[in-house]
Amino acid sequence: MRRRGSLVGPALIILIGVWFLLSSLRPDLPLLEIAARYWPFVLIGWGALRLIEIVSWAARGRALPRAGISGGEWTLVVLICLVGSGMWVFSHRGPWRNLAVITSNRLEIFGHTFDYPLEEQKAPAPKSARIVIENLRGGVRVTGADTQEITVSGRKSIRAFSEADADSANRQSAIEISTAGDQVVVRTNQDRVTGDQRISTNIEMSVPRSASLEVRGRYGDFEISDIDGPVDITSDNAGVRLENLGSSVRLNVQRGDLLRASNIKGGIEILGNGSGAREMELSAIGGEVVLRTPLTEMRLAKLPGRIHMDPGELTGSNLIGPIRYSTTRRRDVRLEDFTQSLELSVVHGDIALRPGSQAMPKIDAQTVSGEIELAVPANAKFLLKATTRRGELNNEFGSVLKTEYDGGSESRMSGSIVGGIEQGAPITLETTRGSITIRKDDGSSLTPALPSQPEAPRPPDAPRSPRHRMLPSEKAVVIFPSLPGIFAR
Amino acid sequence: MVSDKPALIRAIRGPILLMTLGLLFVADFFGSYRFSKTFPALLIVFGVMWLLERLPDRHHDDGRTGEGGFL
Repeated sequence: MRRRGSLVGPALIILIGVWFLLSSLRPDLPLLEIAARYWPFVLIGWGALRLIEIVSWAARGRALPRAGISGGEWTLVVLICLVGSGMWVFSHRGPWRNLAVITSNRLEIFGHTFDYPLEEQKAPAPKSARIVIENLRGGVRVTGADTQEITVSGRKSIRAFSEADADSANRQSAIEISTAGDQVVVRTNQDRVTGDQRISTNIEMSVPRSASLEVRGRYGDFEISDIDGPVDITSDNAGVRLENLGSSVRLNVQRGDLLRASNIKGGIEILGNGSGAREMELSAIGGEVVLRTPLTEMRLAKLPGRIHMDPGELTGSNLIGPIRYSTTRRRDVRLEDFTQSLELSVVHGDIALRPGSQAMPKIDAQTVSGEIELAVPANAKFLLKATTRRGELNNEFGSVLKTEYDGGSESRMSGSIVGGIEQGAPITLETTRGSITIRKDDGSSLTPALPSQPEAPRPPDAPRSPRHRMLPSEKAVVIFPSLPGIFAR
Repeated sequence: MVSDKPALIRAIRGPILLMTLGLLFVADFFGSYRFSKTFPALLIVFGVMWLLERLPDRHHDDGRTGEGGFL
């Protein structure tokens, strides 16, 4: 008797058709997430269906297949296992899980985001309170005000597979304000959530201006302004904006897109074992500036002007020394109007210096691979020794300086520009590979120009589409309509 | 019912292995038994099925004069 084919093939085709149909008709259903979670049941169903078929054929005396599952079918099974396991791991386990959660803000692959407004909470603050904020994930915006109480409001976003899970996580992670003596601790309690949910709490706080602040987080941006006390920030990954602070600032941020600090009366200390902020802009810092990461170290006494640093370039103007900067990253350095002394050490990168019209600072600048350009006022008192082992020597300053090529041969491109006044500020420039140019300072800025003004904050992103979410309308509240893009990622 | 038991067992070996595979993944995803620890169960199931396939079929062997028989 001729054996009819298996029902498994048609059943799989129907299943795939239903899946695509549902994805078209019901885009709100989390079909990818369902597939990632429940695909093993397809294998069980497949095996069960095949088993019933074979037993049924055997009972009717029909010919049995030699193998219940053919080689081609096993190939398909392996493929399903690989893709399914990959989706599961991506959404649930290991480092990929974090990646999934981070990217899911934009990709919306797994789970849904449920938004919960935070009810405004108030607590009296002691005089010169020390406020500790613990928020693992999410942004923190703190503004000092002429008040004697702490106000906390904001929004909580919970990423979960179901609304019930999100509700449960919301209950477990209620914001807590506790006071002990002068210390006030604000906790978002995300670590109390036991399930798979991922919580991000964006809090906005108003605190007494005289308070000091300690903020701890893992992932989220900080925006702090108008605080007179010291500020201490610790985070694994954060964008930081600081403005109008009356005391010192200490930052221990491993990574971040942006660090912007302006109008800080005290010093600023930036530490970290990670790569640090991708882009850093400091201006009007009244105290010592210290930056210490594994690849870069910088220290200067005061910063009335501005420093801008990104992965490729450090630019600075109006700096008060002594200044020390060293990096092993590939980075060009352009500094203008600096005083006292400058010690500069760069491995790969050009150096352009224009000390300005004030008293000539002592300069010691070295690069292994890069050009050096120095612009000094015509009447400056200095004693220069600029050496390159392989590169051109351009003396555009004048006859005060002499160009000496080693061995008397210009073709070797190795030599020094030396000269100046014996009692002048010592200037030592050294590059292993690259040209050296010494010229008169004609008042023109180093090229390219320093960034003029900080970029205006981005407008807030529009609330994300509630596609793939099953949000009760009362929960879909955006609390920070006026908050700049720092909270929008 | 066909009496070719080895053929039947051989035919259902694949579907049963497939179901076992699915169950192990379910135990991993929804329980606390990681697939990396439970995968030997697949070998066991495979071995048992193979064993059953090779065991002599008593019904089939009736009338044969096998070694070790009573008569």
